[in-house]
Amino acid sequence: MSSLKSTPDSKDYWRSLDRLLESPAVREAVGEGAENEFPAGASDAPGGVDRRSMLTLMGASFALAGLEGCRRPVETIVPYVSAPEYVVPGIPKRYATTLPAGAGAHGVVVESHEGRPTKIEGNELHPSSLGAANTWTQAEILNLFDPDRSTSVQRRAAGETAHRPSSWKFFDAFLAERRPELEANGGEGLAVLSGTYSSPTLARLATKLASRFPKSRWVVYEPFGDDNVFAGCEMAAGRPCRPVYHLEHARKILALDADILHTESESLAAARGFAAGRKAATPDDDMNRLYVVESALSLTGSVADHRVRLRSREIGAFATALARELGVEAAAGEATWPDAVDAKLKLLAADLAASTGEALVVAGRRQPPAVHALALAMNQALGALGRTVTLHDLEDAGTGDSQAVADLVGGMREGAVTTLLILGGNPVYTMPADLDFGAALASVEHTIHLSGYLDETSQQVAWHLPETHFLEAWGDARAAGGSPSVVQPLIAPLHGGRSAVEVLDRLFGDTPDAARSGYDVVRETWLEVLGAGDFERKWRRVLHDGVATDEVLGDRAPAAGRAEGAPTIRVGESPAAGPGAMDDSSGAGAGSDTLELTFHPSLATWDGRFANNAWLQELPDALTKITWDNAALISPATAEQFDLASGDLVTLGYRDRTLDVPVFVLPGQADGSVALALGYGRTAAGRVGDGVGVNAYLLRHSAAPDFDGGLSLTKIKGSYELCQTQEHWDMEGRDLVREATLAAGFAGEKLDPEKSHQLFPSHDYSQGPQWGLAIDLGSCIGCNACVVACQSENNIPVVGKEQVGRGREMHWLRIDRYFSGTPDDPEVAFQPVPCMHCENAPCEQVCPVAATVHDRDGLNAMVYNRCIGTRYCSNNCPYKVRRFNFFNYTKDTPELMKMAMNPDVTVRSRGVMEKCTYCVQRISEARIAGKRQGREIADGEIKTACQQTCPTEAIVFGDIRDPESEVSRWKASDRDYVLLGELNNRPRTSYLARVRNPNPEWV
Amino acid sequence: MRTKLLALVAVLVVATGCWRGATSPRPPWHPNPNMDNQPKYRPQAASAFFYDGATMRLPVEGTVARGELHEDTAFYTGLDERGQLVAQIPIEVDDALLERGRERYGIYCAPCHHQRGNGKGVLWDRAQIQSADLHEERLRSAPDGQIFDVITNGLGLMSGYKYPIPPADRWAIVAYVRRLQSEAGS
Amino acid sequence: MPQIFPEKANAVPLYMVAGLVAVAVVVPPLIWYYFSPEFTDVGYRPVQPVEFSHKLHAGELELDCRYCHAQVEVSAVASVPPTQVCMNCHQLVARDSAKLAVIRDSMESGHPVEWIRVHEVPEYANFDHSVHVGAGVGCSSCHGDIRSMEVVTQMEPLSMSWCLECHRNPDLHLRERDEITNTSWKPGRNQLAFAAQFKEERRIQPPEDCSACHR
Repeated sequence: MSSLKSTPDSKDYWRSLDRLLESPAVREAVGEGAENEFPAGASDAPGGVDRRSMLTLMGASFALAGLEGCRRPVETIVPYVSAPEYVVPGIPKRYATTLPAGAGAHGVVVESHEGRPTKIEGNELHPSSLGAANTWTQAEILNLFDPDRSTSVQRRAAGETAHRPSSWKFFDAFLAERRPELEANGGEGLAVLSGTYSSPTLARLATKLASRFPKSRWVVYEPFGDDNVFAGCEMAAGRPCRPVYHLEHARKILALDADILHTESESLAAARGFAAGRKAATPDDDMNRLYVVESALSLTGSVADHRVRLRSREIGAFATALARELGVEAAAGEATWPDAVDAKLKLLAADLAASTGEALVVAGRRQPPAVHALALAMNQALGALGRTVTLHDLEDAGTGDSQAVADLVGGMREGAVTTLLILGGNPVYTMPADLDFGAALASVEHTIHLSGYLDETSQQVAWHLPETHFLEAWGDARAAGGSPSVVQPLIAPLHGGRSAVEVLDRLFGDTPDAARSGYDVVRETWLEVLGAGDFERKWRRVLHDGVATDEVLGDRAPAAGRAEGAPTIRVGESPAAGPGAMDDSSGAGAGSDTLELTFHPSLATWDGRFANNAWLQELPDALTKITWDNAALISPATAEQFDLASGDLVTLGYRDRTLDVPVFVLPGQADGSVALALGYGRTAAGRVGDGVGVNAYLLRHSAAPDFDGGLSLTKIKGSYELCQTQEHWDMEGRDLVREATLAAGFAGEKLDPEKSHQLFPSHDYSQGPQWGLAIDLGSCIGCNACVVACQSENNIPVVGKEQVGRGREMHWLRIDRYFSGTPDDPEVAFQPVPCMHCENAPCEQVCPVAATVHDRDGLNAMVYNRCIGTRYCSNNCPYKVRRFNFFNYTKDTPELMKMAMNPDVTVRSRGVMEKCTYCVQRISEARIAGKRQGREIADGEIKTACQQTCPTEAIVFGDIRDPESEVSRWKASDRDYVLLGELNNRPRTSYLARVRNPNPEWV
Repeated sequence: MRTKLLALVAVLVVATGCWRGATSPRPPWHPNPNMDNQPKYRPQAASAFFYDGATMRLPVEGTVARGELHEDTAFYTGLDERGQLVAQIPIEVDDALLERGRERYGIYCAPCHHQRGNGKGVLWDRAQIQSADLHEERLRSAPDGQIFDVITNGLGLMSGYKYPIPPADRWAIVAYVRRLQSEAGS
Repeated sequence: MPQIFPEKANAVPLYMVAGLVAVAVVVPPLIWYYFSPEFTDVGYRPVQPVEFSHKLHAGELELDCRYCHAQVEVSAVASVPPTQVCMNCHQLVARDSAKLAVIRDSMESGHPVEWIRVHEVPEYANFDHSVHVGAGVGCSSCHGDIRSMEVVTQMEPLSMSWCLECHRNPDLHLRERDEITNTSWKPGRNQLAFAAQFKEERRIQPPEDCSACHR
């Protein structure tokens, strides 16, 4: 039926504003006619050297090298000296460990080849990851092997301008020298500055620090912490706590400026729960409905059934009004929005109230505590407490406090702080500019920074200490729900670093000679966590599982939330809950009609800590598709008001600071609100991250660190080239993303292969397993986790901004993002596009050397060593999923980075075409294991890298000949369709049409 | 003149080893080395980064890999929960296990202990070093766990064999040794 | 007008044709002969850091291949043994031999011995030892009669056509499990009948797909 067919008249998709407007930029980029799919220069030779001089050079080098150069290099085999038990060269092992993530933790499972970690995946047993991993978690493997990491202790003596290499021995001596004085005066002047943590061991050491040095202080600063969440929870429930959401139990979900599916804490569990509530197999099935009220278009907003654009400043008032609508006593707020929003608010309240007990309201970390308190009050009114949201104690957590940070910086400036130990983080770069942390550092006598890089902060301290990566050291962390887990190392520290735990432990000087390792310190803590009885067995189980399950913990399991029932939420009594506290918190004279500035974590570099990670820098932003840059995001209406187009340069003025940034016009952005991603413009990140983008921290003010009005915007001369992966491979208005609504039902229109014309005879697909993939567009939230998983699994090179600008990015799996509706209030659809593995593959027919051929399992195989680089296949691929190595991108791979490569996958060279292989190495591994054990491959045994990491389980892979397999069942769905089916390529990759669940009464 | 020249060429060809199969210590010619050697590490590759020149690293002490919980101490160490050597093989002894044991014994044990278990294997032939005679009374009466423990960790002059022989195979060998002993006794 | 070319020049085209014919006749066989891995790769016999004799250890002492190459049945790589395996015996036998100095140093210093790889498959091709051994292809099919070699020498070209030859018709290389490590094994008189039955029983279907090895 027609709701699936999505003919151009039913829904008009446009890839971007430029496409919609048919602007000259597009015409120039794709050439005059639409038939030219590549931008100009995409196939040009590199500039600078012409062919003749190239040949001369080549001739000369041949002559020099002679025939001896043609000999194969001698390769050595280096075995162990004493081989460890259970390590078999060639068979990877997997270890569960934990990536501490602020006040939470991501449980991960890391693949290790002969003791070298190579890939990070989610831990299916861990409550916060449930087997999935996000982009940042997966990219940590590249951070581990980053050749720009700090390799030694660096010291700058008083009066010197530069650091000199030193060693831990000297630092230990320094500590020993300082300790008596600190012990004598009770730690007067000693301060520790760290990021947010939730670690039993760090908490224990912090307590020990407070008792050993009572006058010392421990301050926590996190650029994107959950401090507002915790404060709001305390405000409402009367005790420190944190809410944990259970989206799988919710039928109506409202997110208030909250990107719950991606950048908020616990996003993986939220995404899994959200998707679980949307896997409607038939129109009769139940399905949740997501409302989002936000200023900047987020991933959560993109997949919402209904989205309301409001400036972040107005969301507090919106929440107040909504709360009153739901019967919560809250002080009156001034409604400054149009009537249409008011009508939506009433509909929203009615719809939420209709699902009492199964509704959920979530406020984002950007919103002040009062909004969080309101959200909890609404949840209580909706009967959600204890069902879709549970409140948990903040166990073993160190959380941020802006007042304490301000006091610390003040104390530093006044000389009250004499010894400052900074554990991780990069406060010189990440602190709000008005605090001027860098200048304050200069007034502190002894400054110590533990950090993985010689970064902006390290350059200004007396002692820089190289920090271990989380894959190199022992530690621990608690998940949001309280489940503790251990960080177990995968490899000995590559550069002889120490962890925060080890540095702190040595501060006390309890074991001067044979200093204890992190292992001993963590185990000491866990004797308390697990109890001494049967400790060894429980400890091993925790290491094995990657989390201490309730079974292991017994009566020591975190009690909060479960026993909780429903606390009394008292929002009306809280003075800060009134709208006055939410509006104009800046006090900078920001009227409601002034421009608003909102700060966001970068989807690539987060708060800047991933700036030197090339995978993430090159990862296209989920919505703007910009790589290697940040930009000020504005709505089309705002752009018109200021006469701006994407790429124009503007000067943003806020309080007394200004910043020049390029703008990007993003549909769906709230009018009058400018969104700016932090985490760019680093100056000491390393070779990859230095000078990428603009440092937005320079505009951040400690009084209003998340959003504020009173922004001025001035267009200045010139423009800036933002490299997107967007305009390439345009599919020219064909029927690509299909949609259905739950109400209207869905029935697919399958293509009858018999009717279609076919030029070449079919292969025989009647034997053995026949591999196929299905992608559920209804579940995809566009988070890019699959793209990084693919990059990590398949050794996909990074090409750099300039090459991306020429359309030469190498990702085997891309996520297309389509807008529909109006530019102001668009609907968004994501579509992951890997190789389709067509049964009648057009690429195979045109390859002159048979470098791409079919195998008997139905895979469209790419044989790199046979490829001569004609690129005919890529030209003939209707899906544009083939990628060409225009240069030898991996030639200069540093020794360390080679360790991040998957040994089971070819590292391609120049002149070779490549594309998604359905992770053929994993298929081979399973096939060989099956042969060795004399059995068939079970369904679900092979998971492609993208499938494995997907937070929403939107991808499934398997044998389509087996009617019982998961993939067969998906493909049998009415929602199933293939891309460009009319070409009769018979793709093995198919899609399930996206299903929306709109409120029928929505205006 | 011409024949001499031809003969000279033939001699030169032979002298430079220019025929198929000629041995040479120098690596083969590979005029097109594309992707022959890639910037990744296959098992047992060399490394310029680590001090010992190897890319293979030891697992960090104290870590537990997935699937290596090994709570069944009897099976993995030959010791029960109280740290005592187990008296009996903790897995079922059947023909398949004995056959496996025979094969593994032949590979790893026979060189010293001899195919018949009399302790006079190659080591005796070559260097007159006698290994333990598996038919001795003290070995016959030793608990199964002790034989397992010796295979695992070695004893006296014998090295431990936990690296090449996985635990299941060690038990197979124990079972086979028991079979050898009973056959010799009867 | 004087003649530019001497009369001899009339023969030049003829010589050229003759020369071309000669080149066309001579060069392809030379390329066929010299550019084949059978010429370039077979016979590679690098000097190893330790003068280890397979002839002595595997031949005369009859140590099983798997005593050292212990992972060959379970892993893609057969793996060269750790130093410790040498020391199993050499802590007792030939303790002071000069030939073993490298081994003793390695054990003492903890630095592994750096052996030279003889049988090298390009890294874009994946070879799995375990699946071949499991399917009844013995060591000698690829490595030759190692037990008779003083110094390990590459005996087979290890080229793709050579691999495919066996994948298309493995009959002459399949043997019983007991014979896997017997490197002087030769097919018997009933080999073809045995192979046919063996393939049937074990369901041996060597893949010929590109993706079987290239990934």
